[in-house]
Amino acid sequence: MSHSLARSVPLLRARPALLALMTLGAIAILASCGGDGADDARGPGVAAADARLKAAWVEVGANGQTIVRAVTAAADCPAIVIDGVSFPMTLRAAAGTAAQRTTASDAADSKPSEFPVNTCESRPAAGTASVRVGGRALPLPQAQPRRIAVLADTGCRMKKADNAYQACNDATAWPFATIAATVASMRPDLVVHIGDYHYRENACPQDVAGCKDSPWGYGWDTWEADLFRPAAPLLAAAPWVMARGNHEECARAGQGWMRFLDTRAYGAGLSCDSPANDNTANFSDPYAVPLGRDTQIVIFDSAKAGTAPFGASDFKFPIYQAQFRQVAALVADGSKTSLFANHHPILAFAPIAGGAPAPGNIGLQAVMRTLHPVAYYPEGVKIALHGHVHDFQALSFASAHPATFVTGNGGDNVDVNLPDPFPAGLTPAPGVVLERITHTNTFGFMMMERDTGADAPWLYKAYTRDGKLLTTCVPAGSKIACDKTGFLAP
Amino acid sequence: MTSRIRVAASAAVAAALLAGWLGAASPALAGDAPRVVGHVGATPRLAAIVPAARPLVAPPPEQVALGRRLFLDTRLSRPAGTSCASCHDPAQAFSAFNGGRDGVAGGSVRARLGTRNPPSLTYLRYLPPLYFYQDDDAPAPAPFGGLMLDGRVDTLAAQAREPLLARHEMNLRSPRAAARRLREAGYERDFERLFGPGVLRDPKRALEAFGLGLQAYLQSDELAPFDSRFDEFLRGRAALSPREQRGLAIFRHPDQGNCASCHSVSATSSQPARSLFTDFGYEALGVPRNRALPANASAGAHDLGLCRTARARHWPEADAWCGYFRTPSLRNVAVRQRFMHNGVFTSLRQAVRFYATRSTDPGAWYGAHPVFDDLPEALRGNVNTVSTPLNRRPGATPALDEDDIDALVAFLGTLTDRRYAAPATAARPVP
Repeated sequence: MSHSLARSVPLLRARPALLALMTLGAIAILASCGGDGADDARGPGVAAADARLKAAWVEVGANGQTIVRAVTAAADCPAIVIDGVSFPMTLRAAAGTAAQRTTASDAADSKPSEFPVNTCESRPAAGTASVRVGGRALPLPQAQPRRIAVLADTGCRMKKADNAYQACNDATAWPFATIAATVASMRPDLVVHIGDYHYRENACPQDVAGCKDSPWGYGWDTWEADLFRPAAPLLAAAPWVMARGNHEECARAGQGWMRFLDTRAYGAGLSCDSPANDNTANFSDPYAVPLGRDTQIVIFDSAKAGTAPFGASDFKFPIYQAQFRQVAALVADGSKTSLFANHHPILAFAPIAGGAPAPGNIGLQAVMRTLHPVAYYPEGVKIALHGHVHDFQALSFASAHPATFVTGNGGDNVDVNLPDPFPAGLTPAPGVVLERITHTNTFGFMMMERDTGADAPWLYKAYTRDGKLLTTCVPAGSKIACDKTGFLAP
Repeated sequence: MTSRIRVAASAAVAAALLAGWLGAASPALAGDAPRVVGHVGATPRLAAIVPAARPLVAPPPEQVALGRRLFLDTRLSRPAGTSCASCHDPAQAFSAFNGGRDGVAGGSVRARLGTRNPPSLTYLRYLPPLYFYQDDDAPAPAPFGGLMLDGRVDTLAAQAREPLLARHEMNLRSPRAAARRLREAGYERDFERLFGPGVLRDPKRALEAFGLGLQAYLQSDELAPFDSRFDEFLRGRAALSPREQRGLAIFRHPDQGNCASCHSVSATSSQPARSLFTDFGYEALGVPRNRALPANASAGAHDLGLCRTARARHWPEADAWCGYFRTPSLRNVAVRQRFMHNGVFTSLRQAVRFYATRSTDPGAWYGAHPVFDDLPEALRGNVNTVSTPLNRRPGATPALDEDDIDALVAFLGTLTDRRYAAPATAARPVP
């Protein structure tokens, strides 16, 4: 654990009077530079901080809370200019290097995670019109978003156990930067990432030019390479909603997840620095993000759901059970259409070469059945969104179950396709009757789009990495109708 | 597949067992071997893929020399006249037909034909023993490695013994006969020098020593020269033509050839062993039945591949592996004259075209017969219908057009070792 981290966060949180003084001081410094605080920072100290600003973006948290985050190599957090007034950002996680912990890899293939950067945060009030950090204008959540990009599983795989070294330096082999640029060019109002941002777990062999000199492990450098650098145009284009994938569990990239992306307050117990806290830090409560007046999306953390079935005696079971109860409460407002997003597909398939597709996550299904024995989801959930399986799937059911999308084709090596035609009678979960399925394993993303008219439905559109439209799906309650069925040739 | 593979995880199985299994069974596998984390039936499940580009222990030169003599010795068969090289000719990328026909080789008794297309032995030293591996994202463990196309043999030493005794190959029939034949051929002194006194007087020891000698030769650099044009390209010493480059791109592209998803290549690595053009995994491709083979004279006769091994090793739901065969290396594939496990195709272009159009134009491959007709009807569901380009509906546009196929074939021609690159090699008549 980082000692500086353990000290600094409580220090700032415990002393509001000191914070207020610092804020006033920062305003004074900026004002003294002759500006109104709304433009690029000026003056030697601030200019140096800007040059060391590594990333700045906006996340949307529970109830639509705007969360501005910045990662800086400077000693101090940068200023944030909110509606023309400058404030210092709050230190969320101080630079530091935690002692090497157990990871998903052998100890010999692991190392301490180095974070030579401070993560800073600010939570502007609702109604904020503009935000700038380090001279960059950041996108804010729209009250009525019209275009929402959905993607997942975006990192570049470097994993010794798999003998897999994706050519991270080749946009054909690892197209996340292409996808991010394509999505950014479509000017989305919001981006929903459904987990698995980080894949550079082990060192690239020296003789493999495709990933040569790539950072590896779980420190800042890998997060920068896998997410912040390739996604920069998209982080600049729209605020993001971040769901957590299994690659962000504590024994993998959990340390970075907590520092950079988790919407909760950071602290030692949630740092993933110590395996002793994993059984807490690997779980987080669901929360809802409004998508305009009539729609919301519930974000669910399934990082530890795993692939093996788990039953009621497993410690995870009551945790997920309690969280699904919270989901039911979040979607109880019948005036809104509720989407549900988590990483592991629940009512979808995992393709298998030479065999029937595997069903959705059996462990989560078992938990959900204890609360909703037939429906799995609470009644308010109309559409479910997932990643994890590296393909695109759009499923609509004849039974009363939420239509489901899988959008795990965001950059990591794709899985094989699902069969076409799809075998009759196959079900992703007991009691669920598949009506139609549309799918492809080409790299790409999904866009939710709606017209400006009141009550216009969301359309769900699958695109290739280069922005070629593959299919459009129209929802009707908990069902969807796509204009194509079966395999979508790119 | 999740349900059909129940992994018998055993906490007691660990590094010591791994040493006993991998170390003894595969002397070519040096340290740094992955841990055994469980078993599927009697087959180990490892914590990691066994990488091709791993340090190998060089075989003893004396054993290599002895193995080479044994490999080429036509006195060892019954009747004499057939050696290992008769079906694995060093001049033909260690593959040949010994007077056989229709894609299978003849034995020392020429009327007896084999049942499978003789594989090339080049680069086999990298092949690990049979094992399972499951990535955390994968729904089930998958098998890799193992010699023979059905993975039933774990070491080159054990593999080499089978043809010596097999009735349709060298036909010695018993270890006792093999030991006697080795003594009669004058090997006793050399065997005793390398393997101890009396080795050829003990049939079991004799056969083991025979296998070790051959294994040493098969592990030698002679069979893994890495001197193809592609290897020179990897080393930055040669360029591929635009057509070959295009073929490589199609080979790797997941929306087009998607070949590299099984025939592994690391096109940016200067270490050619990363590009063996196989992941040592298994695939059920559903190739058409080779009706010319005597072994297929009976409609009920089928070569079921991996599931026979699965049964022998007590894998749960073994029939799920029927029709699976190990993915061969594509190195020297352009030198070969027959393709697929049953030798049904007579040109490389035909084999590549099969991948491109098997699903879009099944009639071109199966005629009036049902698709996947080389498997019993009940097992045809095992065939891979989901990997690109095998996943498209009949009548759909193939993922590869004819020009793409030509480019792929051109690229595969760059994988030929220098000794086979002479134009005359390709002109050999098709058996």
